[in-house]
Amino acid sequence: MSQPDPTPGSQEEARRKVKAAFLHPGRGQIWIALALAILGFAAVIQVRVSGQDDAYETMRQADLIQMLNGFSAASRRAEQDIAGLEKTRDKLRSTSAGRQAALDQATAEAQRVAILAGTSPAEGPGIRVTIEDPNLKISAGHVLDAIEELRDAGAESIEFNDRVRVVATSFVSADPAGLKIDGVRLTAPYTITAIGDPATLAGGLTVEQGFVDKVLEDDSRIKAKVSKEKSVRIDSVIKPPKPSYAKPADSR
Amino acid sequence: MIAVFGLILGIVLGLIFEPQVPIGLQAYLPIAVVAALDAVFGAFRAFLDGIFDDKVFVISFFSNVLIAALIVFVGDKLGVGAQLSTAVVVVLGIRIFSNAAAIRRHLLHA
Repeated sequence: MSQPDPTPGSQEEARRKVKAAFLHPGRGQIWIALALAILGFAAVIQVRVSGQDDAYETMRQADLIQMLNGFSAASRRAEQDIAGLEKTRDKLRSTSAGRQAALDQATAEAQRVAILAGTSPAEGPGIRVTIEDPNLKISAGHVLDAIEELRDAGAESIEFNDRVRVVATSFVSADPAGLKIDGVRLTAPYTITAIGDPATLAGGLTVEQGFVDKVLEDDSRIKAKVSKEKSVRIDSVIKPPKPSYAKPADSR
Repeated sequence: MIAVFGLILGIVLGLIFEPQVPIGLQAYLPIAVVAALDAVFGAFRAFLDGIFDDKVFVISFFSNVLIAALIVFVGDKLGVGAQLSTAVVVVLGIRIFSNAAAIRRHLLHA
């Protein structure tokens, strides 16, 4: 230091001066006190501020701006990622929804067609016809009449003797031993089960000059009973033949 | 005596009121405190040297604080605020050390 070392005598003097100023303060010390009070106040505030563990509070503007830029770039990238992923998710979701809708539609269509084609059991309101034929007078023509009249009355599914399902390709044949439908022999008493509106179906068979009248005309010992049912069940199914000649064609 | 009371009063007021520092002043407060400390040490040394004057102390106290804050302010405007405030702290720190050394020699002769 440039200051020359004080002599030992000045050390005593210095201590005396401090003591005197401490014990007998002059009027000018008020200003010093004011300045020191400001210093103490500010120092305490600053200690408190830097004591708070907020790393950003004491950082400078330029550094903060740089950090902010970094963060906003990162968040922009993250937002782009989010947008892309959301787009992918929506695409996958709509694809799978479309696939599911097509599948549901196809399943419903298949169920409807299966009932018409006779490949699936069916149940619903309908009628049950019981025909007693002791003299075997019922002919293939009578059976065809019955089928036609039931179809005319809106029958959706028809079954004979709880074992033969009548479908689009069904055929009725007769030989001296009796009746056959699709090659399956039917034995009396016959039962016909049909699903449709019960009143209309029963009306179709019992109308004047209808099926029941005709069979009674041919043999008065035939007894035909038509009962309307809230629910009948047709359990027999057919195995759909594979068409050998007909092929699906584009609709025009 | 009065001076020591003033220092204690300032500390107690700071502890009681816990004031919030305005955002604009946050960068200047630590520099101002260091500058004020430097002024206090310089004043004590001058007192021991026998050349102390109340008016000079009060003026140097506030001008020290103002100049330190001004340097940091200009540094902020020029984009070198962080570096300039470090420079101010270094310079004031050196002054505080040399003043403290002189005070020590006066009081302890060592």
